[in-house]
Amino acid sequence: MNYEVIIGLEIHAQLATKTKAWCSCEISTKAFENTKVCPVCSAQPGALPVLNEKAVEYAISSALALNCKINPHSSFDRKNYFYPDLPKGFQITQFPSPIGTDGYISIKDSNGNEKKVGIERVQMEEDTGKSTHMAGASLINLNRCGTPLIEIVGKPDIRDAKEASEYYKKIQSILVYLGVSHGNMQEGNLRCDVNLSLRKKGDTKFGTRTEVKNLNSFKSVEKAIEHEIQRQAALLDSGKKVEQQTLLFNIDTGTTKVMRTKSNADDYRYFPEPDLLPLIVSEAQIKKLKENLPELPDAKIKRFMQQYSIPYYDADVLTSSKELAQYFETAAGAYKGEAKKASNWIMVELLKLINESGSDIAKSPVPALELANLLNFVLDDTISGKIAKDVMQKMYDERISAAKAIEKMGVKQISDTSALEEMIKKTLTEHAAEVDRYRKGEVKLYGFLVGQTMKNTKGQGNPKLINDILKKLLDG
Amino acid sequence: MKDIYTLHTELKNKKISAVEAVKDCLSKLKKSNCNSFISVLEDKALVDAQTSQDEIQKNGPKNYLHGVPYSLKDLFITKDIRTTAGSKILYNYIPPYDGYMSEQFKKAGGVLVGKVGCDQFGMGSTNENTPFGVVLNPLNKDYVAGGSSGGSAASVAEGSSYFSIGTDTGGSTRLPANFCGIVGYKPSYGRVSRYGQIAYGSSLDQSAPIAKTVLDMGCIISNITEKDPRDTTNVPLPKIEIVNDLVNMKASYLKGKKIGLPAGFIDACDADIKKNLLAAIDEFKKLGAEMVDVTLPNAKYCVSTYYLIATSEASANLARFDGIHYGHRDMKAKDGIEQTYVKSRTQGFGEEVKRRIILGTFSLSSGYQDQYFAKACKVRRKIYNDFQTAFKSCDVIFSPVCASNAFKIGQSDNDPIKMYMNDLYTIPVNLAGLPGIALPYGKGANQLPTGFQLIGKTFQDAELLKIARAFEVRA
Amino acid sequence: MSEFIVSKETVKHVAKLARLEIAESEVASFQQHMQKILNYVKELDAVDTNGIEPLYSPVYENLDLYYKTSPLRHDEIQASLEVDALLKNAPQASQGQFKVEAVIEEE
Repeated sequence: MNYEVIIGLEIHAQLATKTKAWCSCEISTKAFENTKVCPVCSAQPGALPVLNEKAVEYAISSALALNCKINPHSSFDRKNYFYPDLPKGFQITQFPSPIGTDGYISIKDSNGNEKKVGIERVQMEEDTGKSTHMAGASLINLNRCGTPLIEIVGKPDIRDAKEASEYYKKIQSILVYLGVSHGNMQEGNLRCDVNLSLRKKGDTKFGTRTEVKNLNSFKSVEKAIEHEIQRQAALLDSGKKVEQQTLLFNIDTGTTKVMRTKSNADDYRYFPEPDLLPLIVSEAQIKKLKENLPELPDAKIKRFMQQYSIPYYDADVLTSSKELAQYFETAAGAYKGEAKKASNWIMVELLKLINESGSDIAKSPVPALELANLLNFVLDDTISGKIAKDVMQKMYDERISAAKAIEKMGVKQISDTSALEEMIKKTLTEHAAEVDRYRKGEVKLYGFLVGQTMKNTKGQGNPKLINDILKKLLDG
Repeated sequence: MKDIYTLHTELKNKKISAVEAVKDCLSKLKKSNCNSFISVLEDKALVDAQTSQDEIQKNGPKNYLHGVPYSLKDLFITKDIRTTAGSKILYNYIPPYDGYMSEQFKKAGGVLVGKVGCDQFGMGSTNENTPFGVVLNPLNKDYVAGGSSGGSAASVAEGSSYFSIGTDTGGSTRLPANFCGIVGYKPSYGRVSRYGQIAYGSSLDQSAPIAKTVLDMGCIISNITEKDPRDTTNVPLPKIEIVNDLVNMKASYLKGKKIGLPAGFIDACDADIKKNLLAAIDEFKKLGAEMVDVTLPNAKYCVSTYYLIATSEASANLARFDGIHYGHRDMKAKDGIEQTYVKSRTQGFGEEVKRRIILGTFSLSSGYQDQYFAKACKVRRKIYNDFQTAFKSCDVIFSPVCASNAFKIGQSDNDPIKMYMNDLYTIPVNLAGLPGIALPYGKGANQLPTGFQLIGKTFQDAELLKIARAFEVRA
Repeated sequence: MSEFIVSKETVKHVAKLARLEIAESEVASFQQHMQKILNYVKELDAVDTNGIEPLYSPVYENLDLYYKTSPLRHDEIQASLEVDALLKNAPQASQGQFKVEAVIEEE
């Protein structure tokens, strides 16, 4: 392909405040229709907006985490358009002076190299209501109307589908780390629009771009981009032009359809919202919010690699969510052995069980401290490493402690030397012929004798001790 | 003509009961027959008056408005009481909530006589722009009461309310108060909460009382200047408590006060108006005030500036009237939501409202916003700055209210600019967010009242009212 | 601003943006009205506004006063309206929701 792909993402994130952006209605996805609506969010005549301070804090924290400059004097604007889910007839947003500008995040590009993706702006705005369409009629529910949003407008720095989903994942993880958004795409907490254009390699001018909407998973972002690249390339190859359009992606067919063609009819007539003051944030406020930012994924990865001597791969996986990182730190802290061992167990055994049962780490039936206990039992030879996996399964299935599971399963390792010696002596008596052959030089029978001893201990004998004693008795 | 303060004293001294007072208002309303009300709440008013009277009987009046009959322009949201904005589009709208104004007067124990007429959404100077019919001037029914708060002015003038709250976006209370020979006061922008006031031009709108005397303004203002957290643009200042100052006010307060006279303002007025303005200036001088020449060089651009800004804001403010969630809907429009919007809005809004929405939409539209809306906002700053400069040399500014006084019904010009010029002297005050008060003074050639306006410094409402009161109490 | 000639198309376009319908018979009157006003507001051309920031609201000149206390709202839940109160003015309602007998074009 002779084209360079230019992609920019616009991400809308619902802020996880208790109340809406301009009024004190509770934000609830579970409430009955239109039960979380007041004069302000239903745009009754005479009602006025009052900005939620928490929404401001969340927006600033987000912008800071995305390395943006915070505008000490931002302001709100009206974006005028008619839509039944938007009862005011305009959306309150930030147009010329958003709260944050000129940031970036780092992602790994397709070759595994670090890449900075620029963020043009972070702006505060509001969500609309929801309508349900039936035959010949629509029903409108305003519960969601006025939920605070931030829109994160990325610079057109992304070059392929993988980078786009890496970027989106990173943004999601940052917002969830900050606790400013629930970040659930299925619930609509996070929404993403893709702007995509192609240009001939070497060209400096951008081509005509299209906007693809309705992307509610990382996978759909990737698929939509792949499809759109093909579609635009085919158009350009055959000498046709790409039209500036808004497209809807259908995940089932993997194709897009035209929602509307951009025209002069789109005239949002932005102007400053006279019912709100300009938003002034002091240096002190910004400083305080900056100091209170939690450790973000990038910093955490670095620290994990250093503090726990684990490789990048492990650190990356373990920091993919705040809960998982917390789990690892608790487990690694309580485990007396090397943290890498805890990391392996979490990444392989625990996550497998969690994925299989469709649970999540925050609700893991095996708490971090119990995983550490389990591993400590292996470390001090209470159980064998081999049996530990079965113990883990039991702990997980029955939500019981490691000690309890070991007791219930009766798998405690026998490390009592005299008891083991008795058992070994018994084994050697039972297999006198093999002992005889061993002593005559058939050394490979050693393994057989170990096996028989293990069998007599019902697998609970400490292999190291068995080895020592057996050697002593046979060779001594 | 009894004012609030007098009624209050009589209620306190049990010379009259609140029920008698409201009955008197209702009978004056019927006698006057000026179409001042859209909704008369006769039964409710009588019940409320009885409740107030019981409280007064027991503990005396709790404040100056306790038991006092009043009315609200129909742009003020009243819970469970129809609120129309003077427009067909809200013909049957019964608000599910109470606005600030309604709440404050309920708290004070005032008796709401009803909702009074106005130009639709406050857009007009004659009260002719409404399907509820023009409000007649109680002093001469051939004449308009003025607008847009014509119902408010007429109801106070005819005696059906002791006071009325209007709205003032470009002069909409000062002008009708002036046409009806009473007092209209627009507080500083932000001094009174706009929560529950149906918006026209949000950066210009201000609730504004109409009453018979400046003293009454003091009685009203303490009840409506309490900070309302639901309006961000409502300034967090303590409420204005000046009734005692006003009661004890002497004309001598004017001694040494500097009153600014903007160059060219008076000369542009009709001869009879000018004559009376000059007479008022003479009185001020005699009372010891010092008249100071000031210039407001950009004020002459105020009409252009105002119409671009007010209509731009209105085009967005009135977008919520789309027939979906409340208000008029064309039930026959079934060819898609767009048809529902267009038909409902087209049927619901009056001509002048549509004209202003169209002008405002154009002024904000892509490619024109810089030339029109943004340019107007820049000129607005120049007008603001003119006032700041002028106020360096004076305490208040003296100005006409309108170049003419009340004119005959149906005579308002077809030329929109001439019509808009009625607001030439009131608009600059809104653009700069200043307090302004229109006071009656003299009569015009048509035997109807004339008057003048005093303009104060931002948030110096108390000083403005004191100066106005000092003039009011002159011998 | 240069001389702006208001065409019928301008009037129709702006009316469409504002979701208003102007009957063919009324277009000329709206056009005239708009032309008169735009001719009048041309006077603003004469005002030198070089280097002047727009004043969008008087509040912009008193921000210190407004920010003496925080103008923001605490994130505390307060009661919403009862559904019946909310829907009582709705031209049509069904199942606790606003109803429009029209298919909504997708935004």
